[in-house]
Amino acid sequence: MSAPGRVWRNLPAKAKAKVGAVLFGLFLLAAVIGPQVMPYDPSYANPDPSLLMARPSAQHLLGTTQTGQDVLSQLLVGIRLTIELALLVGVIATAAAVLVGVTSAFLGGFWDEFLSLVSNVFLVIPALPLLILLLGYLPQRGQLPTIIVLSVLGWPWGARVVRAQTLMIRNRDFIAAARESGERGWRIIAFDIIPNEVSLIAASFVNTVLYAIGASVALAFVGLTDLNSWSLGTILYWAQGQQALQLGAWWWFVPPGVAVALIGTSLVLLNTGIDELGSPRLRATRGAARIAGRRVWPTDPTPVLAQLTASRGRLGGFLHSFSRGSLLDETTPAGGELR
Amino acid sequence: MSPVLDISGLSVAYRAPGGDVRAVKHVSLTLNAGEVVGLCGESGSGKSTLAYGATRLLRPPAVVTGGSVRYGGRRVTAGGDPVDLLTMSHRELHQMRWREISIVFQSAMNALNPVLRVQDQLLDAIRAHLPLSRGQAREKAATLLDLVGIPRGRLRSYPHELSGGMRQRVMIAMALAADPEVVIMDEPTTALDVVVQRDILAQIVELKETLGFAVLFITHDLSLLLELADRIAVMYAGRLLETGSAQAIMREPAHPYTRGLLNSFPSLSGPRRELAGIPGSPPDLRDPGPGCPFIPRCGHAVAACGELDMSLAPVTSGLPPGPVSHLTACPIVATQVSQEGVLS
Amino acid sequence: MPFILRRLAFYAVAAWVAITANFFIPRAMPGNPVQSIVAKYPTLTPDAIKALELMLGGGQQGSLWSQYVTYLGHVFTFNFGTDVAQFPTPVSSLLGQTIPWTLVLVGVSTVIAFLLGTGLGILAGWRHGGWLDRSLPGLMFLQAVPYFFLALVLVDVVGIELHWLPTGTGYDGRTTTPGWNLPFIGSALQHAVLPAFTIVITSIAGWMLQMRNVMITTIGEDYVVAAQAKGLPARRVIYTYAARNALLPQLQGFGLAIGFVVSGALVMEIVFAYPGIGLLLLNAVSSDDFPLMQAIFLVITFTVLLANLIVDMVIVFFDPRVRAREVHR
Repeated sequence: MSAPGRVWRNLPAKAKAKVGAVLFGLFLLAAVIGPQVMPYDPSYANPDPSLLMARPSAQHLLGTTQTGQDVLSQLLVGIRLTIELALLVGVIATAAAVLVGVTSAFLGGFWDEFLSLVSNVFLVIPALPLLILLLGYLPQRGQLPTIIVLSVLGWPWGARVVRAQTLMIRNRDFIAAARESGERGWRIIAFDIIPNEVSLIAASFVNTVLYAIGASVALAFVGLTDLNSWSLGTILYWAQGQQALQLGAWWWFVPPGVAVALIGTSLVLLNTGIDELGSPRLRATRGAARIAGRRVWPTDPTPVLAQLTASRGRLGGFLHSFSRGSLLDETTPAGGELR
Repeated sequence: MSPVLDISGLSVAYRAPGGDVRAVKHVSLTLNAGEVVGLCGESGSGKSTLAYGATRLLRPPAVVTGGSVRYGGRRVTAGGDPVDLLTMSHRELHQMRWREISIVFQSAMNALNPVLRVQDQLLDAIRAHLPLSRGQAREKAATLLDLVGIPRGRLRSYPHELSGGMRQRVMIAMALAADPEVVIMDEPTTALDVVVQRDILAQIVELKETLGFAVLFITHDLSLLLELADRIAVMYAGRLLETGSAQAIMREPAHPYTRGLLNSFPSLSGPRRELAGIPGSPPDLRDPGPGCPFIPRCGHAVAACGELDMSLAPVTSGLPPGPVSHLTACPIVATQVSQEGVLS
Repeated sequence: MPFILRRLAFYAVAAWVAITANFFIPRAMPGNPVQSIVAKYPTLTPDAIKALELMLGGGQQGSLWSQYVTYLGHVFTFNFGTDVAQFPTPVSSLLGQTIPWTLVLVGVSTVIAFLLGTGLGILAGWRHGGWLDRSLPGLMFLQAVPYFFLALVLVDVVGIELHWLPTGTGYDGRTTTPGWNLPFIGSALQHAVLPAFTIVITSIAGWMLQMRNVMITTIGEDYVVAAQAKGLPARRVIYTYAARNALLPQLQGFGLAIGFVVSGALVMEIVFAYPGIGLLLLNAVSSDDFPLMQAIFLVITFTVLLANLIVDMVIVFFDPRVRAREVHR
């Protein structure tokens, strides 16, 4: 069994979420203080010919670009810009999604059908081509239009999920009780419904941020965002355009890509943790595969303790007796018989 | 005559990081050929765990921690000793499934594969165990539906196209597909309305008479068992509290819990009396406390109850002892019964 | 049948929304799009300019409503106008040259990735906790990598460092000519390997993860326990009882993800300079070629809608319950 695999499998939900949170936290830290501590101005093009497309060295930890710019500085600014944008889009789109989802489920009837139709239409129309189209017409392409455009296309997914959950909760008894006792609609929404959906909303937020990162990096790579700012996708755009590939300048295009991948992975981990916290069944089936030190597949017949220990052998049995599981090993049964 | 299914001292637990849950504790139960044994208890009493644990159908984190489950069907033992399901190899167990012991699950809607037609599901069960050709198997499937009173045209239906009662009958037909000796019925009628319930129960009795299988009938409804079962076992918090013939249980219940259950449903005849439930709720199985698990809800509990080892002892009463022994885990009520005489 | 009809109606509405968006967006954007085109391409004829104004707005070509109706008419007759960057080539011929490339590449790769991923997911779900399961963290990381980045890495490693496979365009233009001849097909296949591989690698993890999760939930269902209780052979239980049912949510997920897959593949075409519709779109954007942009957007959208409809039909084929009753998706 591979070590990372074994560690992974035995990680309870909380640990996965923690790893994700820590990793993302690191990037968040980089986003906040990065530009303060970066060694150079990312746009500064050092004219020294020996420093053009130079490999990583003590002066330039991640090397330089075709025009002598420091990659590390660009990376730090890029992390900030990308995360900033993604978080903003996440907040706006999730807020919109919760608003639409809850309202739709709560009001029911025509409004529900209409809003659902709108969400579904937005979901089925492919997002990136539409984003490209929208940005393509704009003469000025900066941070703001990108944020707006991403938010407009980013809410339907969350709205669908929130609506489904709200429908389920709406039919529960305690909501009916609240209505009977005359509580106003918005109060019910704010104090009864939303608190029950917090983990769902959190998961939806993380997903939206993921989508925003992916979409903004793709758009930047294609050159549709502000080419003068250094978001991670823009760095890749320039790297691609300046033939970094063909010239073997891996230090230019690998760090931004790996950064995007790591940020994405940390978010997915966070989400897996949140998912498992909210879904006990996924959690319960996780640790279920080891009993008395032996692997048991979910589809095997129920194991019998005596059989498991018998086939372990004497050394194994001795070692096993120290584990907590050995407490369950029964000795003499007592009790009457039904004859 | 040896019993067809002999569960002895069975214990089943669920492993959990927060503490192991002992769902079944040292339960012994026997089933003789052709008889109906009712297993009664509320949710969480361990009755289903007992049945699925005995047949080793529980998923992880369940473990069987002790006891034996001996099966004595003629086909398998060929006149020799019974085989223990707990020590068998996986392959032998696999071959025994359905052919010797089959199960009617609680919710037919959930227990039938939604994307397969009824015929295909019946054929699956038939061809897995009987060496029949396709044509013969199809005829057998049709015959099974006849047995339970469903029109043959329904063979081509999907489960969602059948009514609740029909689905349950399909489940019963499927359970009889390989001609088993033992049929375990896990609350087969709980999800149905009362009228359909009666029909299905009548059907079960008729089939049992005709085909001669034994039935382990699991339910929370004691009133059902009083009419249907030959013998009844009462379970609570993983332990057997009382066992005996249906008449004995009905006329002289020898455990406060059984009495509570009997008082919980009205009878159609007889004087009107106040319905009483049983106050309180079942214990946490991770940490039930010493002695009898019923102490917190029992009106007759004394200090000694906390030291009981929950073994079953015969009930001495005014009635002449019958062929079936009447056992109880409660020493107090047993003596009370022998003093008070028979309940009316 | 009613289910498919309702889905068809839904896709018709979505298509209409896309067309209408296409009509209004250039008119809603700041600036006059036609003017910027004319400024960039002074060789356009007055007729062409008039057609552009009809399409993009900004001129005196009649009321908004009449423009809209004309536009709708054009779309339904597949009249996408004349290209501006390569005037006077009609847009449809440009589309015709590039669509087959993308369709084959993306279509085949996506289907392969889906089938492989789903198959692996079935095994991973059945053997929950086995070695396939343990490869999940690596796969999750792979999934977080942007398509095009992986493409960059692959091009660098496999194409440039190792010289195993060609790294650009769809076929070797110097030694082969397009057509149904073997050298061309061989060259085209060779050039398609890296892009296809990238698509498969980056999307397979998603399919596998999803199928695995659905399988785990499905295995917990009563009918799978019942199937085991019946002593059915393991193969039958895995495939006909568990996987058959797990396939339904998986297919629905596939339908929803088609849009994402197509989007990713488009961007990836730049890295490989693959002569598909993605490259065409991006070139159109950088040269302000609005008619082409619009047409490509519509074509992509219609294709995705069609693919969704096909997936719906597959679902109907596999799920008898859907055939019987009304389903809200």
